[in-house]
Amino acid sequence: MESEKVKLVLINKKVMTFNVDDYIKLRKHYRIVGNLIGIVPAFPKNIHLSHLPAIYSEYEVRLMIEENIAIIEEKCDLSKKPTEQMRKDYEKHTEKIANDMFKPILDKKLKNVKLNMENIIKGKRKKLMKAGVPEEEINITEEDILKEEEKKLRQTINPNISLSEIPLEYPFHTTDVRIISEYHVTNEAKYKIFKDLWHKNMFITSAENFGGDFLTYTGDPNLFHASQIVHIVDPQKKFNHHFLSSCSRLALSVKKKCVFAYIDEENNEVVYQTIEWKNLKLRELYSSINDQTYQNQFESDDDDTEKEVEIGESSASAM
Amino acid sequence: MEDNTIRYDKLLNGSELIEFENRLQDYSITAKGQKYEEYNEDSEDIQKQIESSTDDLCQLLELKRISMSNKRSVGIYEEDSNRIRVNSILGKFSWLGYMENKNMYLKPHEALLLIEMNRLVVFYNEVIISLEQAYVLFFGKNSTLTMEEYYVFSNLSRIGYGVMIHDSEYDRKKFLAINNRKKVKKEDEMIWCVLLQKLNLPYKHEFVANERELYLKTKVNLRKHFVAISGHSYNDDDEDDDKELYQDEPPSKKLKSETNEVDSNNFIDILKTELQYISYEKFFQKFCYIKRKQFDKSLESSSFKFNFDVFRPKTHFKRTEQLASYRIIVITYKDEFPTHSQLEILKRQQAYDVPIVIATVSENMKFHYSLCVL
Repeated sequence: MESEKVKLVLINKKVMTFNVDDYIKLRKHYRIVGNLIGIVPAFPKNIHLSHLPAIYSEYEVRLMIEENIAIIEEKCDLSKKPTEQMRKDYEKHTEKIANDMFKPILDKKLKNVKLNMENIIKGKRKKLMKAGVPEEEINITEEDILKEEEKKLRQTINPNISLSEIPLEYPFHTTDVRIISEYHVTNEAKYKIFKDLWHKNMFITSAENFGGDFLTYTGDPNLFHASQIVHIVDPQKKFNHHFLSSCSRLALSVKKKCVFAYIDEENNEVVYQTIEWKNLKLRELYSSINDQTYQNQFESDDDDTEKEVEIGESSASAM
Repeated sequence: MEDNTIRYDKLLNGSELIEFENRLQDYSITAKGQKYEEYNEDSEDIQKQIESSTDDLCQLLELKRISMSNKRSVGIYEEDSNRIRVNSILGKFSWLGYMENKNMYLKPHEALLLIEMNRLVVFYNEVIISLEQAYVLFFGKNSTLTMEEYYVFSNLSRIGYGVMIHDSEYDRKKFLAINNRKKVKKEDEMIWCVLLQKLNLPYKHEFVANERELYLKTKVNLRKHFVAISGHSYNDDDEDDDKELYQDEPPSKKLKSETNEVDSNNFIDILKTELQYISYEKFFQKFCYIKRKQFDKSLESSSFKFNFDVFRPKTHFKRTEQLASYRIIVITYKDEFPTHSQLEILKRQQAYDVPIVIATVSENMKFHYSLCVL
């Protein structure tokens, strides 16, 4: 149904979301992770934490359109100057907020007065006695002090100074919205493989850091390690031994599987080839990096293991 | 339909503001446990972890930019000039912004960073600019930076570096002004040139060429100091310069230095037998080296350009008095990485030599830096 679709926004050719529920929905129910690129308001200088907006890759966007998960909108109103009506409405809203906030601010300040009531009474009593008023005539009650303080505070609290929010999303109704129904990707084969992996219930992120095309996860990347590095290869081109060796070695050292993916031209289907290391000893060594003997043993085994790389075609279910 | 342009579901009311402000104040980072290798549907532990991790993420993403209105700077967006006039400044902006007609202005990317950090609120026709609108306005038609460049700028600024858009003319003027202010003595500067040359580091070639006499004199003096300090004879590899030096020296000195050349580390003394030579040859064959490509002078322009000048963090930062520590080139993963000669061209375009850093940004804004030392 149209109303259940997530609405994403197109800004300068990038597809993004500024809505928390939409982001969580896409991540939790549709395994579409995107990348959070915003700054966390509580820790603006922490570069390891990120916040909304989230940005989506071209493959994620195409998939969301094709699978009827999301609608991509370009809100043309946002680049226009706010209208007079909007200005008036916003002014009313800020006035209302200031009025709403007045009571809580007053209450908070009066609460502080109540907390120090004993000291205030003592102080006032001392002051009056110094002025020559006999002790029996001094009659200060809590109620009097609260009333007096409230009167003072009502005059001093500036209604223009209150809590204010910088909204994440555009807080006005939009009238000029263009819906993007087609989205082109730069590499069709790559998209086809992305889609196939997604249909295998995987979470997928980009693998630039590992020199590959995609990283696949069995669960949410926040909780699970990536299990495979997927390299997309062109079946027309000759396979380079150096490339094979470097890909498989890198995957082993980060405890992942190295997968080559391509489109079979005969039946137009996606084919995967997984490279695994047969030498268990070396595999164990790689997985126990902290082991002191790692370096020495690795060097002595080095020459033998290169021959033991086994390339085998794996079925889709084995992935 | 309600006769109001505002969507109240996208704005907080009074009591929500107080609630979310408290959340913002009380928020603390929850420690992440170890990541799992394999997904197991039957494991209760994993299912619980997934739920709590999603809740944590929700809590983090629900944090809103709330602050007392007098604790943020206020700016007004000027659409014609695509800049933000700052009406009230709170805190230090350091390298951000510039003054014009006694007014402080921010460029769009600087304003966006401050909005994201909850330090600035910008109004457009007296209406607040939401983060979403800021992205549309500031990355729109007249944007100063692309989104990729903005993320590099934001990342480096938050680490603490001063980041300014590279302007070669401004850079050159600043460099000259600083040098004039310093008034370094010619003799002192020449010492630096000789030392830098000795270490094969960039030095002022023009200055050395113009002051040839001073250069030779300084070099001889430095040699004397070297001998006095170390007690060893001076061993110079730079033969061309040596010849020039000796030409200017008195004959007695020349003779002395020629007789002093016997050195136990000299190959000529060691490699006297064929066997010794063969073992040395074998040893050298083990080395792999990449020959440095000669700079092609016919190439005059490079398709790459410097995007930012980066300044090391300093407590009292003055943009007119500090020189850049790095220069940044921002490229995307789709772009080709610059070649050695392209970098060499860029290196020569600089007013003063600093290391070049290449920031490679992926399509969904993941990036890494590569430091190029030429």
